[in-house]
Amino acid sequence: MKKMDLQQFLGKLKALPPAQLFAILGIGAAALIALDVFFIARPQVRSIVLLNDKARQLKADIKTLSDNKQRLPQFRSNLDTVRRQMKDFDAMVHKEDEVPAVLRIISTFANEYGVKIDQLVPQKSDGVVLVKNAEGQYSSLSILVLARAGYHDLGRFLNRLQQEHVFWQLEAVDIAADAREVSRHVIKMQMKILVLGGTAQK
Amino acid sequence: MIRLNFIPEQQRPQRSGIVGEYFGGVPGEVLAAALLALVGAFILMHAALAGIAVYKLASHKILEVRWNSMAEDKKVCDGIADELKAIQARLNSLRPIISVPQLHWARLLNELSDSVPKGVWLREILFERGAMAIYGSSVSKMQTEMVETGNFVAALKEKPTIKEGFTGVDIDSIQRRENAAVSIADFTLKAKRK
Repeated sequence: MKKMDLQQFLGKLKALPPAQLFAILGIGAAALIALDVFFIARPQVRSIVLLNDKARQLKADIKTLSDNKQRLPQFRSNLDTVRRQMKDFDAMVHKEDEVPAVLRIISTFANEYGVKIDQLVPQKSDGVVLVKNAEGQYSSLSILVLARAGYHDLGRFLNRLQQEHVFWQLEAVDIAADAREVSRHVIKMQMKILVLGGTAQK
Repeated sequence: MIRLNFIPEQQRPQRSGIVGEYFGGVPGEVLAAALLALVGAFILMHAALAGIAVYKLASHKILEVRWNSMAEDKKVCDGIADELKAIQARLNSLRPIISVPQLHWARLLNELSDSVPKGVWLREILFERGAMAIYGSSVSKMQTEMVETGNFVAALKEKPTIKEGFTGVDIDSIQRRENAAVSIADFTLKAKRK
């Protein structure tokens, strides 16, 4: 039956005028190509392109990682620097309830270096909000320090305070010769300390 | 073309294909060959694509193995990068506080005292609102008190803390007064914070 059908089909083809025959053959070939391209070749090419992209990305990642691995000592050093910076900063920050402790530290160091403190007054009304972030509210608190000390004792005292990150800034300093005692100076300082309020620091 | 076939027409077997037939003047064999060539080309093309895909897959697998072998390094690098990023983000949020330039007071006081030449003494050092004023006096029997004041300013200008933290040091005022056998110059120096 099938053989007969093919015979009939070929017979019909033979009977067609050449132009029509070639048009049909051309259309048939084009359809075959189109079917192949759309349903077989395209998915194949797509998967190759996809693999190519993945490989390219992987290659780039490997290169970046290799470069990073070579620069690891530099990254570690950068990390140490920012860690130290952060540690110094954190040491400078005091919680609101730590203000009396800060005053005590100032007095202790003053005693240690022969600085005679006449007055130590935290000026709470001067609190200025510097930064507000997720950690809380950072503000500065001024502390007025009135003292008497020798010039070099004062230097040592300030050095210790700065080393221990007790204050953030010295807003104002007045060192004047003491008329009553030549070797001592009358000192008036406006220290600013950093206070973290609101959420707990860590 | 001459066809030789001695079998009578009626007894010849019926052709079932296109061989020996003509389609629009083109032999059936040519059409069949063309069709086969087309199919062959398709098969070749797909085989080539499959080959490329296998090659790419193999390359990708090799890269994946290499990538997996670097997992430990990646962990270390990522750890450092994440921590750096987190600290830097925190530092950025604290920039208004951190960016305020700090003055090393002990060093500044040390350099001030080191710069004072013979015959010069300081009466007051006042620092407020980002400016420093130095009040002092200079005494000389040889009437070189003005020169000594100038020397003091020049020495101060060379000190690292002054160079780094201040825009410079200037004489704001200088006043000479006679005092018995010596002459004294009272001076005021000004230095502004950078």
